Formats: sequence, structure tokens, C-alpha cells
Amino acid sequence: MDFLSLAFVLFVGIALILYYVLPGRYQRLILLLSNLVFYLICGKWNLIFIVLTSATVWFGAFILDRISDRYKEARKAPELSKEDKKKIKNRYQNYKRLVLWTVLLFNFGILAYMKYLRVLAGFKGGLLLPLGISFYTFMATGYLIDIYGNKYASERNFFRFLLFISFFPQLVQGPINRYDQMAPQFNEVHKIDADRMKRGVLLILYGLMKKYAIANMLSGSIESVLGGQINTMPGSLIVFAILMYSAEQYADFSGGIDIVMGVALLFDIRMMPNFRQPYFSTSLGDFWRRWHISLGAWMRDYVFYPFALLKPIQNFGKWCTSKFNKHLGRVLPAGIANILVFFLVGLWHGAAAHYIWWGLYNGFVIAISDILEPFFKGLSKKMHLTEDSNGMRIFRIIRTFIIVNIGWYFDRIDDLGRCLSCLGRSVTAFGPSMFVPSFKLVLLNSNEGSPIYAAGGMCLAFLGCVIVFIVSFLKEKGIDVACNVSAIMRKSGFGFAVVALAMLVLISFVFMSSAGGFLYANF
Amino acid sequence: MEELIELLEEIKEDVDFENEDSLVDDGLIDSFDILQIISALNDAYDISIPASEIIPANFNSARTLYEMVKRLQDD
Repeated sequence: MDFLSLAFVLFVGIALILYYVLPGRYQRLILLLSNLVFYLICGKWNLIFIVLTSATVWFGAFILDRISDRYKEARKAPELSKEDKKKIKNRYQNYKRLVLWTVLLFNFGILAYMKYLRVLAGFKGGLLLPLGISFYTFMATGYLIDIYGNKYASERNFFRFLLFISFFPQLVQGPINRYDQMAPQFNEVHKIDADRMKRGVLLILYGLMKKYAIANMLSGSIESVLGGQINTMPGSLIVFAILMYSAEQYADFSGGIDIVMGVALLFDIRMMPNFRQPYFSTSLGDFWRRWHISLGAWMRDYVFYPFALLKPIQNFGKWCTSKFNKHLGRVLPAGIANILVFFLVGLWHGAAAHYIWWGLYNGFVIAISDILEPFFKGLSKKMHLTEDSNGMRIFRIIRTFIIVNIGWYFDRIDDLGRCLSCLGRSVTAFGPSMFVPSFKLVLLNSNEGSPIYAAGGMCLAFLGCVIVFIVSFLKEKGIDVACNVSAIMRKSGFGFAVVALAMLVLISFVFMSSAGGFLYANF
Repeated sequence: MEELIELLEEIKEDVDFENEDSLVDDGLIDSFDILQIISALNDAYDISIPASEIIPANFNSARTLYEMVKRLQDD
């Protein structure tokens, strides 16, 4: 179901009316039914997969809690020596480990089969990738690992757990929400609030503007360049296409997230934030704490820390400290854990080698920059540079933006050979004088439509980017334009903002050459 | 408690572990520091701190770290 379709608007509208008109105690039921209907509309097979994952994880968590209770009972036995206590602990820990790994392997097995094995084995036809499988599998397994670690009590009611896993706004492209943040909200009774509804509508329109007026406007032009005869193109045009891709990627993904955040807000549910002005990052590590935040946090909590805390990795750290120095003992084990994390982040994006190269590129750059940190600190000291000056901050932001964009080559260009030749041409055959003629030839006279449409689409995207830049810059300064409705209302700008954003979305249809789904919807 | 503070100061010299109570929330310690702290606490107190204990509530101050160590020792 497309977000900008009559079906989706009607679906959300009906769900909202029932949600707020019926007595509060039915709100959970309305939401759960909405989720199931949403899933049925998107394909009945989806429902089987999500119910199967929810049921196995819910039951696994229930068993884990039972084992923990029995362990506590066993520990109460009188006159237990320290040795006995350790034995009891190990025994119950092994039971728990068995349950955890069985459920994890089953669910990651489904994900791996649906997402990778079928693709690698070349199966065509049959079932489509279940909607949101990468997102809900991670949400469900995260919950299970939390219960395994006794972070909070498990959910006793299966339907409440299913409500958390199947909450429809999060299913198209995340965020990967956490149970302990979502469950209390589902248990409350929500009253309608005009300010909040306006905030939700504004956020949805802002997201639609990003998606339709920026991302969709650019995707055809990017394809014209990167899918064309790159051997004859000047590097400057390739760089321009990658810059457009960085705008498209951000507008598409964060726009989609704004829309689903806005929809959730209409139901008075606040989901985990997924973006925090990522292009203002001062390092690649910082970028990954601002871009797809919920995936980064999942990887940190359930892969990075557990892996870095393994005995062999800890011992490796100690060995590095004794053999080399304290700094390497500190950063090398974490660097290895980071490379693993980014390998998985790449893999998570799909069954294609270029995603893995992109992931590894990120992992290695972060690991190397951590290793070289003392060197860079020493260098700036020698050059008498003030670390926290504005100039240094801007330098770092630009440097990080360039590093991120190099990564986009791997992400966007499917074939490694092609990607490397694009990178090569960007450096060795930049040809600035060739930019304008090749721009006219490739972008304005492409097969997609007449030049005026291509140019118009690009101008609209540029205008959209300026708006997003201003909003992001203000947010970075602590002024929340999109969410702070009371400030907007005081200047009676709400109506204006709605009209302006809606106009941009509508104008985008004039220049639209293809419908284009969300880039992140297929993960 | 004093022993624990000494141990923390060895890992990160420029932080006032005695008085700070939002080490994680204020970004005074990062993931490298957390891993180093866990490694040192595991050795010093003969415990094994699992990843599930890495939450700000446990790592925000020397006192909360101390309470976590005591809890894991009794466990």
C-alpha cells in the first residue's frame, strides 16, 4: 500500500476514528486489528510469517522467564556452598542458552532463507519477501535477547506482544523499535489532542515532500548517469550523480521515517528516532549514530557488545596492551567488533556483494580512524589547531560528508568493477570543463522525458533540499521546526506550512517519470 | 568502593569518578571505556558482566557500577 494513496489515507482515517471514538479500553484491539488488516491488504502470506515469528519469540521468552524463576527457586535451597550455587547457575544458564539459540536460529533461518538463500539459489516466483521481515525479525529477536539477559519481564499476553511486533507504521521501513519503549505506550489510554494531530500531519507532509519532491525527482537522473556509459563520462558528472544520490537516499529514507513517525503520532505513539541530521556528523562513527539510529543501536546492543565481551576478544585486548600499548589494547578489539557489525549491516541490506563491500568500507574506515586517533591529535597539536573551533568543526563535517559519499559509490553501484571505475574516473578524469556539455547530453536529453521536465524536476529537488537543509540546520541548533508546533502556531504558520509542503508534493507529480517505491521498503 | 574508583581512574584519568553521576548520559565514557571497565571489573571481582548489563543505569556512576558488581557477586 503506497503512503500517498487513497487506500492508505482511508485506512488510517477509519482506524483513527475507531481508535478515538470507541471507549479507551478498545484502543489496543483497534490497533491490533488495523495491523492485521494492513498485513492482509499487503498480501496474506505476510501474516503467516509475522505471526510465526511473534509466536515463537513470545513462547521462547515465556520459557526463558520460567527457567529464570526456577533458577531463583533452586537458589533458595538451604546450605548451598558457593560451588553448588555456581553449578546451579551454570545448569540453568545452559537451559536458557539452548532456548535462546533455538529460537534465534529458527527466526534468523527464516530471514536468511527468504532474503538470501532464495536469491542466491536463483529461485524466481513463489512467495515475495514478507513485508518488513528484516525489521520485525530484529525487533522480536532484540526482545528475546533482552528477556534472556533479564532486562525486563516478558509479555504474558501473546496478543499484546503481537501488537508490538505488528504495529503497522513501523513495518514498511522501520524504525526497529524496542519492546520496553513501546509496550507502556500501548497499555495507556490515549486521548485526541489537536496540537499533537497537527504535529503528526506536519511531519507526514514534510516526509512526503522529502520523498516526492526530492527523492523521486532525482532517481531518474541518478540512473541516467550511473547506469549509463560511465567510461565516456567525466568524473565531475559522476560526482554530481553521487551527490544527488546522497540527497535521494537521505530524502527517501528519512522522509519515509517522518511519514511513519507522523502516522504513529496520530495514534499518540512515539517510536524510536531513526535520524538526527546525519550530514552534520563530524566523523563516520558519529554519522552511524545519526543515520538509521535504530539499526545502529540494535547492532551495538546485540552484536557489538556481546562479541567484544567474548573471552578470546577480551584476552586479545589484554595481549595488545602488553605487547604494544594501552591505546591499541583499547581500540583493536573494538575495531574487530566494528568490522563484524558493519559486515552484518551490509548483509542486512540485501543479498548482493556491493552491500557487503559498502559495510566493510564503513567498518574499516571507523576502525582505522580509531587506531590513528592519537596520530591525528598529535598532528593538530603540531599545527596549532584548536580542536573545538568552528573552523575545525566545519572541516570535520565536510571530511565526513566526503567519506560517506565514497561509501555511497559501493552502496549505489551494484557491480564492484563498475564502482571502482566510477571512483577512478572521479579522481583521474574529473574534467570540470566537460561537466556542462555532458550534463546537457546525459541528464537533459535522457530517454526519460523532455529536457524541461528533467530540469524542472531537478530545480524542485534543489528547492526541497534547501528547505531540508534549513530545517536540519535549525534542528542542529536545538530549534525543532518540524515538531515544535506551538512555535509555528504562534506565528500562525501551520496553515502556510501545510499548504507549502502539499504544493511541493503536488508539483512533483508534474515532473514525475516513475512512481518509485521506498528504497528501504524491500529490506 | 575506593578500590573501584582507583580502578576506573586508571582507565580514564580525566574523569571525576567520585562525583560524576551521568557518565554515559553526558558522554564522559564511550564504548571503548565501557569495554575496558568491564574487562577490569571482571578480573578484579571475579565476575562476568554480560552485555545485557550495559545500560546507562549501571554505568552512569561509580556507585551504580559498585552496586552492579555486588549484585553479580551475590548472583
